[in-house]
Amino acid sequence: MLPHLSSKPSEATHQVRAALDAVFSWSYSSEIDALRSLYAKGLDRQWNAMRDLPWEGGIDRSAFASSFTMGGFPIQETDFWKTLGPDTQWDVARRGSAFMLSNFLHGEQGALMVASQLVNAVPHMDGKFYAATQTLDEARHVEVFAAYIEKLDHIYPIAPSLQKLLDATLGGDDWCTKCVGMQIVVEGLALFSFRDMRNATNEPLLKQLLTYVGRDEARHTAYGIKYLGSVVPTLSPAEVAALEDFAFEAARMLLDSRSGPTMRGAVLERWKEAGVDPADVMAALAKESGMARIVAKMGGRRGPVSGFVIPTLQAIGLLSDRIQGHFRDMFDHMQGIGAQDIMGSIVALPEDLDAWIEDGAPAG
Amino acid sequence: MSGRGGRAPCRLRHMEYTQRNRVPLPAAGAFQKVPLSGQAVYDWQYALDEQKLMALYEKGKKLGWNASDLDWATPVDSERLGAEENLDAFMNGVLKPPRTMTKKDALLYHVHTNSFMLSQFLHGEQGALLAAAKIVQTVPWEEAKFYAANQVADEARHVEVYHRYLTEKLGISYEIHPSLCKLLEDITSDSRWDITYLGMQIMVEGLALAAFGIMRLVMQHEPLILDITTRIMADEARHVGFGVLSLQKIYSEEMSAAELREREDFIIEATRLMHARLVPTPVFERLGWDPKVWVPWVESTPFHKGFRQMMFSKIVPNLKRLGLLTPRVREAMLDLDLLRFENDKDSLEAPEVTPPAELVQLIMEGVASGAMAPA
Repeated sequence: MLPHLSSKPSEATHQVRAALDAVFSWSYSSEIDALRSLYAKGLDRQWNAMRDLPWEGGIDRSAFASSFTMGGFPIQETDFWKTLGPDTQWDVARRGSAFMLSNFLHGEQGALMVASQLVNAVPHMDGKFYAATQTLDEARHVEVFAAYIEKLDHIYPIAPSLQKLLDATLGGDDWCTKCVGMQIVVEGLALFSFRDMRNATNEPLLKQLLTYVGRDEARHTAYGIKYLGSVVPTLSPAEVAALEDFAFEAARMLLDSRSGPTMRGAVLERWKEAGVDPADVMAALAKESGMARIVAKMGGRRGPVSGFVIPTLQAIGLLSDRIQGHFRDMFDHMQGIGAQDIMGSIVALPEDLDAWIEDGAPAG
Repeated sequence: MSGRGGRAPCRLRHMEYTQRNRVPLPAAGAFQKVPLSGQAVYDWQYALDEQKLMALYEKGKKLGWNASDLDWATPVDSERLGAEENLDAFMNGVLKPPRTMTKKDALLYHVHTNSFMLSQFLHGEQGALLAAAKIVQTVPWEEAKFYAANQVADEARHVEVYHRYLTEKLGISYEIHPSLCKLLEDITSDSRWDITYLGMQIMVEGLALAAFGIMRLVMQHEPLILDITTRIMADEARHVGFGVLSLQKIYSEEMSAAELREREDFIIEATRLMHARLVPTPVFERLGWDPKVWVPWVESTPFHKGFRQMMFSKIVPNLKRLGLLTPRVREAMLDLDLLRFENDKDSLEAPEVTPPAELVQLIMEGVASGAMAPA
């Protein structure tokens, strides 16, 4: 009757040892007003994955293929793309997107477990209450991404660099570290990427799905900013430095996960599956007449680290001159990005994250 | 979806209320750290085809409620309620205390045992919050993670509600009982994920379910706690069902004799702890009544014994459903006269709890005579 409900871990699982202290808080009183309000907001903004999204309409394939995004490169604007027939376009779009969305999905599963760790580990009742609603939010996100991917293709395995980032966060033994890893770095990436994809796509179901998910992520980021923002000033210089180091390492892993060779290889692999030789793709793009214009358009665009994570770290007091130096060195070593002095012009965080999700303005 | 314009007005402010008292802290202080061993497990299958668990998850989402849905304007004055009724006649006539209770004694005993019990509900809910959060990490199936996530949100709401009721409405509360504290600590710290389930979903929540059944009977004149109890009881019944569904094949089909023996040991110890030690000693201490006189009374009066046995009326049939009513466990249950529940309906057959007829009769006598809260 219950074939796969087994107590023995199957090969389809991955285990991370977590040495963590659960904290019972026997005073129960509300201590951080901003977090209690965020809890009320979290309760108020609950939605239902199956009821509130138009699943019955299915996916609008032509809208999907004409507006999908793979790592920010607007392939639809190339002449090469127009030489492909609609069937191939859909095939490339659905496989490439399923690959991207699979990593969103796995990230959400990691977030589900880290949110529940925060319920265990944060010492304030307000922080536990809020993290409880976030746990429920993350379960819903796993649910919607799994359901959407099923309509496109199949679920792809997690990218190793994302796995590394999630494991470092899950395995951390201190709640502030987890909060930095998840609420600032992973949620920052998620918020930024979901918003990108939301603004790019014309596929109605995906756009609605990402709007709902993005609103939740905005709240999750706000929790990190408000909670850490009130705790960091109470920490010793050594503790602050340790958190900064962790944030920097996490941001580095995150950049790897977006631009690493394995990720690029994986995207090209999807072209192959759709019947297009990756070598032909590269050759065609090299000859593309409008390439300079497309690259120029992308040039000013910031990614999630420079466009969101760094400004967030600054807002919560985790961006000392020392760690700014580390970021500067890292960007200098990354060709093409070092050209502009990212650290010299840190962008401001959007004032209203909820509104920012839906304003459609270019990122960064 | 209509965008932000179409949203219902939003409750952005949290509930504000005046705490008449703060919950007293245990001697060891406001925070208690419990090392969590165990592993966080990813499930890469996302099979989501375990229909019964998914149905329970959907049900949990649909039945979700907010603490602000309750009518917090309801006045609660248990002293006045108690004073108008013949509490002392019931206490002296039915419960036969070590010395005759005056009207004032009976009232104090009623008010304090009620607060004591509700306080333990509050602390138990915090334990359940932490245990459910741990289950999200350690259970190896995505469906169970979903449901446990829903339970985490339920437990946070329960903590919220009991805290407000105790501090705003009753104005009297108690720190966690050391035996309950020990049990919660054992359950949350154990590295074997099924023990967290067994301890929290089957034992502690099973006990709570029975206690709520009694609370609902004896507090018929207090609409706010009646509403709270009915809502929380429906949530807990789902949680116990979740435990039974998740565990039902593991013990009967998968575990070795040695592994099963460890589970038996856990059940026997938890049963003894909950049965023998959860007596309201702190109430007598606070009232200045000699515990050496009053605790034996609570331990030995037929009424109180029946009341404590009643707490196991859901645990025993659920253990039977899981294949855990083994000869060793049966023997331990028999010692405490708890085997009488073995043929009662388990949580899959009947989610809620019906108190045994003899206890209902006793309580109804009490209610009829005006006393509302046996200990």
